[in-house]
Amino acid sequence: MHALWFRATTVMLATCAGLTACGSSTATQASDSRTYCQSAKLPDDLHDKIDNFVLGDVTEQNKAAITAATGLLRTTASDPTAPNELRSAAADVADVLDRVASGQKPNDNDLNKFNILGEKVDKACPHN
Amino acid sequence: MPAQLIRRMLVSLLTLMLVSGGLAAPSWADEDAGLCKPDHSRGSIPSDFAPKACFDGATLYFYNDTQLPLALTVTADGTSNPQLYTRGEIDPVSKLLASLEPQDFGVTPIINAPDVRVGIIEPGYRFKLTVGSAAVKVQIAQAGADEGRRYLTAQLLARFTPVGVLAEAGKSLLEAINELNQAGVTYLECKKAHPSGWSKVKCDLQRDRDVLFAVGRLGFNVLAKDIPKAVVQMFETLKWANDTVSDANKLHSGARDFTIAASTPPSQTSSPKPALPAAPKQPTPQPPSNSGNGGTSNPPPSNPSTVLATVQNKHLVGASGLAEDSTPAYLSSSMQPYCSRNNCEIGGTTMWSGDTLTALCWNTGAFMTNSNTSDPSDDANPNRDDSTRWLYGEKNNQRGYISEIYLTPTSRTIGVGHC
Repeated sequence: MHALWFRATTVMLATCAGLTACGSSTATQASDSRTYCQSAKLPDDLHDKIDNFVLGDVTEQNKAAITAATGLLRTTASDPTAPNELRSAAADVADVLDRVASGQKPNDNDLNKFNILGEKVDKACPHN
Repeated sequence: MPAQLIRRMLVSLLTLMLVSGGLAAPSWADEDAGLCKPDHSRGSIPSDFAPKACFDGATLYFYNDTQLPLALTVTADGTSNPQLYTRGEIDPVSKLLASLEPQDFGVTPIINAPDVRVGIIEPGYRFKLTVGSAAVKVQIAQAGADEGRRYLTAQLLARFTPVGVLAEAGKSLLEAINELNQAGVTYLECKKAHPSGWSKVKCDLQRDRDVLFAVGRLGFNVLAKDIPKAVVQMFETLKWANDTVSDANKLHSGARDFTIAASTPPSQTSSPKPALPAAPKQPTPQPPSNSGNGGTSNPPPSNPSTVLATVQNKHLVGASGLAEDSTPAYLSSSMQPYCSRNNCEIGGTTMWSGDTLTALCWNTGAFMTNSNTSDPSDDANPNRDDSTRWLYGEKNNQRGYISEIYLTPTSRTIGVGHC
């Protein structure tokens, strides 16, 4: 039984290795490579940088990371090929990040903008 | 006296009490090294009971030697003199929390059931309670998640700020701790729903904002800088999220309750209805005297007078009202309340007002009342009945006890003899 399982796994791996991608991911990769999807992607280090900044580490490095994320969102917001609701959500969060970078604490309305952006990104760029 | 001066005096007093170690109760320097000299005549405390406990025949003693706040519930009538106390040095955080939310283990009267005392024993604290002749049920549990987290949060704050300074924050400290814990709970829920992406940033920012606000409430100037980050890190720990600590495992795997049996009642030649309202409680869980063992298979007493008793499954309402209980009455194998939850309810015997059962004999058991003992408005209600008398009867071919307070006034005096 174990031998059979190993044989089946090996066949699967060999099949996928012979192609550029397996299954439906080929189409998704093409979709997510669109400019507005790339710029709407959450930067890897933003979580830590924004946390540190808000909790008191007001360093240039942390602030620069927030500013960079803001710039990317502005790119999405100004991309005419992007869905309007994504552009609007990106612009809203860019505004919030601007305020956070200037030392303001986000209110509940601001916080909800992140949720909305998350939803819009998931919809427009499902494999971001 | 100006409010500010009063506040200053209270803060000073609190700080002095903290320093002197006498917050909740005086230390008991004259007590023996052990908790007490145990008396097993009314039962033994399980050896795997998580906190230390001892019963000397009159007083129950507990010592929370775990690192968790514990919730203690004592169910019995006639208990008195609850005292939280300490011996020697204990965790200053425990003292601090005990001082901020004093636990008086006050009596919560329960309708038609023994009184209940509930309270939190912080780590390191001891508790003792004088019990009467009635049976005593003791239940211990890990205090709710809120109390557990409160303790962890207070411990964390104490790493950054001297406990004496924390104590000066007084009620603000408790509010801040509660807010911090709420921030953590909200964060965990948010993170669970949004584990990644922009929505997760919302969770993070909300948590950061709420933590900063709560810490700001404390008004610390010198050492507060590192507190928010430490609190945020604490939220990520398994210990905070799940209270998964060894003491919790010990508590969960060991015995969490025990019962001290009622003391043996004096022999009785007859059972006149006790005077109101100070009827002694003499729970006698044994079956009728001429039977072998209890509950559902008791033979009827000799020459019983077989008559019907009518159920009145009602409780008092205000000065004159009487309303049907939301749950049915039933026969039980012992003359104790809460049989539906304590596995002494006899199945297939539930009854509502107007139902009848065959009356066989009377016996004396736990004190019961149909009044709401926390509501003085029904004290003089003419329908009030307080009694230790229980009817032994038969319903649907099953036999067991029912307190007379669940019977109509006429049925309480029907002519059947003592069991």
